[in-house]
Amino acid sequence: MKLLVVDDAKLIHFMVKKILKEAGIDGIEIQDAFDGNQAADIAKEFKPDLVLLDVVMPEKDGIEALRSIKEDNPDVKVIMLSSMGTSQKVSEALKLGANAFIQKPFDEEELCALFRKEM
Amino acid sequence: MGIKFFGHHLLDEGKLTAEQLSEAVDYQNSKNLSLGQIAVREKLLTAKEAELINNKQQTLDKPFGEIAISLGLLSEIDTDEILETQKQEKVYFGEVLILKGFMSEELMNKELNKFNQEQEEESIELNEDVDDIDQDAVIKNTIIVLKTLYTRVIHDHIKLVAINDKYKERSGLIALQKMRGNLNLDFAIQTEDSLSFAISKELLRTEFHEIDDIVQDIICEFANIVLGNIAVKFNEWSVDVDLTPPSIIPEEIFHMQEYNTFDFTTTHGNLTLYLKI
Repeated sequence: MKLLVVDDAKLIHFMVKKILKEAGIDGIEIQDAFDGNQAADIAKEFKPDLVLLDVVMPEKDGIEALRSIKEDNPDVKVIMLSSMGTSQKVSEALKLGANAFIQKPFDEEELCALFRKEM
Repeated sequence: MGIKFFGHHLLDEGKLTAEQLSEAVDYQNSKNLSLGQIAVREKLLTAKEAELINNKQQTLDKPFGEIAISLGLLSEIDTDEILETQKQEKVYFGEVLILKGFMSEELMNKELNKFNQEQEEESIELNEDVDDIDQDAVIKNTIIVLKTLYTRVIHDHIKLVAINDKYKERSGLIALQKMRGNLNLDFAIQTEDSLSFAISKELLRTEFHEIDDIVQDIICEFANIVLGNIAVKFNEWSVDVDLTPPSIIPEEIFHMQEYNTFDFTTTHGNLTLYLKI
C-alpha cells in the first residue's frame, strides 16, 4: 500500500511512522508532504492508495489540497487528520470525498485500526 | 432562570411527587435507546465501535452521528435511518405519566403547554446571549480547552496561578497562531525549556536535551492542537473561523504587552498563555 502523509508538523510524520512500526504494520510505502501544494504535486506522481491529510497548512490548506488530489484521482482514500474539526470543515471535507475525519489529538489505536482496515 | 425539564416543572408545580418522577424517568430510560444502542441492534456498528464513538463524544462534545460519520463508521444515510428509528421508537415523558396513571391526559396537556411557553421565553433570552459572545466567555473557554488538552495529551497537572502579571519573568519558546473569521483571536503559548522537553518526550517518546527544530515543531503542533479544539468549542456558538499555521516567534519581536497573559504551573515547568481578542 502507498501512503502519503501530509502535515506541516514534522511531529505527525514521525508519529505515523513510529505507530506503524510499533504496531508491526509493514508493507507500506510512505511519502511525506509538508503543505497542500506539495501534497497535490506528489500525489500526481506517487499515486497513493491512502492520504492522511491535515487541514491547517501553509500555501494551500488541506481542504484545497483534498480538492486537487481528488480531481486527479477520485478513487484515492483520504483521511483528514486535524485539530480543526469544526462542523463546517468536517462537512466540507466529507462532501469533497474524504473517507473520514479524525480530530487531533488522536488515539494511536484508532489510527492503527484505520490502517488495518484500509490495507 | 435556567433550562429545566418537563418533569422538574411538574415537580415545582406540585403535580408530581419525586418518587413518581424517578419512576417515570427510569421507565422512559429503559424504553428509549441511544443512537449507539440502536446502531448495534441493527448491526450497523459493533459494540466496540459504539463505545469508541461514545468515548470520543465525551472529549469532543459533538453529536454521536457527526462523530460516527467523521470516523467513516456510519454513512449519512445510516445515521439518518438510526435517527428516524430513534424518533419512531421514542416514548415521551408525558406518555409515560398517562401510562403509569400519574395524571390525566387533559392535565398533562395543560401543563405541557404552560411548560413550552416558559421554555420559549427562556430560548429568546439564550439566543440573545449567543449573539453577544463576550470576551470573558472566550477567555474562560480557551483556558478550559488548554487545561483539558494539556492534561489529556501530556498526562500532567496544570494550574492557573496568575493573570496579567506585569512583573512575572518568563522564558522559553513562543508559538503564535491566529484565528480569523467572525471571531478574531491571536493566541500564543510560551513554554519553559524544561516543559518543551517534557511535551516533546510525551508526544514522541524520545528524550530531548536541546531546543532544536523538532522541539520547536512539536510546540507549534501542540499550540495548533489546542487552538483547533478551541475553534471547535467556539463552533458551538456559530463561530466560523480559519486558523493560520502556527510559528515560533522570537521573544524580541513578540509584543506581549498587547496581550492578556495567563500563567500556569505544571510539574515540568511554567506555561504562559497569551490572548488578544
